[in-house]
Amino acid sequence: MNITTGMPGAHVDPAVGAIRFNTTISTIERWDGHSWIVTTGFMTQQEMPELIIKVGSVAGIVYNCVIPVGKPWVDMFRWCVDIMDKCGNRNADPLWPSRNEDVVLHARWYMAENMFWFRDPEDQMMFVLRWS
Amino acid sequence: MNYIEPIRRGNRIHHWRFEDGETCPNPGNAIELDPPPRGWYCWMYSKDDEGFRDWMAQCCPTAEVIHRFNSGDPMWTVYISDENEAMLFKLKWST
Repeated sequence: MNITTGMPGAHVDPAVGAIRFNTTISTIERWDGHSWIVTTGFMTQQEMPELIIKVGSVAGIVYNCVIPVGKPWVDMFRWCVDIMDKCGNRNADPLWPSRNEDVVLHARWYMAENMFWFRDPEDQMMFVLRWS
Repeated sequence: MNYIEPIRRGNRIHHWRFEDGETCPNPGNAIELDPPPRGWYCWMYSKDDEGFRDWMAQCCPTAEVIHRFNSGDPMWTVYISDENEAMLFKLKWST
């Protein structure tokens, strides 16, 4: 398993060789010391990240995000519902995406935009341990 | 909980616009071939989501109101086709 971290502070240069998932153009990139180099298509299966950790915010509160790559979304969603009760965007469904997401502010967790969002770092860690 | 910026939640309308149902907003665009339906459109950042939902159900029953996650900045998209409802909406929320 490879767990990569996002960049909480953009002004801090990451370590050479660090990997990130560019959510804008959906590519995997590697830091070569000067810039992010797109590596999608050149990585082996062993190098491919499985869980990508990011930091986001919902209405001003920091959320701890996980992007699962090539993982069973439906099972993950059901597991989160079992462990942490209802999703913060109440119409969230991994099989049938809804137009009206019906968002509850500052909920314990969300599933939106190809990510799982957790308010508490402990929940994020539990998710990573369960699915890695 | 960690705050990264002050929460500026208030009743704010963004991108209020009227579409006549005949004019294409971006002529030549390969995707938006048809003009949007006639009516009033906006984004709404509400201070009280439940209150806003109830008010819309009561005062603008024919409007299309959709709550969106919007990359962690939740807001409503509103489409009002009825002129009277649009006026009521503007009077209530546009300050």
